[in-house]
Amino acid sequence: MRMLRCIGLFTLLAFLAGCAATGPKMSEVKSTIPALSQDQGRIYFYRTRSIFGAAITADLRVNGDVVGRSTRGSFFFVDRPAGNYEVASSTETEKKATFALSGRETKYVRTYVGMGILVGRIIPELVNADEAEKEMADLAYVESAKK
Amino acid sequence: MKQLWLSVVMVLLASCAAEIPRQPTTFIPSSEGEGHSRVIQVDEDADVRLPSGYSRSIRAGSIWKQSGTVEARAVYKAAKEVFTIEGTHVHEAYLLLDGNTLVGFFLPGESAVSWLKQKVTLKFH
Repeated sequence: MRMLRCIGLFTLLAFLAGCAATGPKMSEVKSTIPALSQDQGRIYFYRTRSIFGAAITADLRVNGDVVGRSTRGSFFFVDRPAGNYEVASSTETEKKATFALSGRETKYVRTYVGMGILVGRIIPELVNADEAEKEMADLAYVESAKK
Repeated sequence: MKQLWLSVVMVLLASCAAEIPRQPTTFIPSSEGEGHSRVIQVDEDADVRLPSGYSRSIRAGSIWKQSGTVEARAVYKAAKEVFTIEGTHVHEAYLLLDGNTLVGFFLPGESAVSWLKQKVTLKFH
C-alpha cells in the first residue's frame, strides 16, 4: 500500500512538473528585448509556478486578439500602441482586466487559477512593476502568439 | 448532505462577484504647463466599500497625481503603482475627488466612471 502511495505521489509530481513551461529565464533574454518607441507600450503576461490548477491553461486575448497562453511558470510580452486595453481569458467563464496604456509605459498582467464551479478559472490581474519583475525573474520566457 | 449543498452554494456565491457598475464618460486630460498636475499624498488609510461588494484600501503614504477631470471632478492617478478595483472583472482605476471627498473612480481602460454609494473623506496633503 505504501509503495502504491509513493508511486501515485511520484506520478503526480512528475505530471505537475511536466505542466511547467520551459525556456530561457528573464536574465537570459533581457538584453534582447527591444526598447519601446515613443508611441508604443508593453504588456507583460506571466504566471507563477504555483501548483494549484497547474494543468489548467487558457488563451489570453488583448482586445479580442489571442496573444498567447497562460501556462504555469512562463512569461511573454506584447507591444501595443498607446490606448485602452482589455485582457481576457476564458475557461468556464470569461475573466477580464481593463487598463490604459501610455507610450513607453509597461503594464504587468499576472494570471492565476481561481476556484470555479466545475474547473478552475484563469484570472488576469494588474501587478506593480516591482512585484512583477521579482516574480518573473525565475520564469521561462515563451514567445507570444504572432499577429 | 446539507453540508454538501451548503458548500456548493458557498462556492457558487464566491464565484459570482457582482459587476462594477459604470457609465461612459468623457475624460479631459490635464494640459501640460497649466499647473493642473497637482500631486497629493494620502495621510491616513481609507477603506472604500465598492458597489461590487468588495472593499479596497487607499494606503497612507500613497502618492497620486492629477491627470485630468471627469464631470467637473478631479481625477488622480496612482503615481508609483497600479491601482485597481474589482468586481466580476479587474479594472484599473483612478480616484475621482470632489474636494477631499472620494466620490467614485474613473476607469481609464473603458473611459467610464463608477460612482460610490458610500463616499469617503480622504485626508491628504
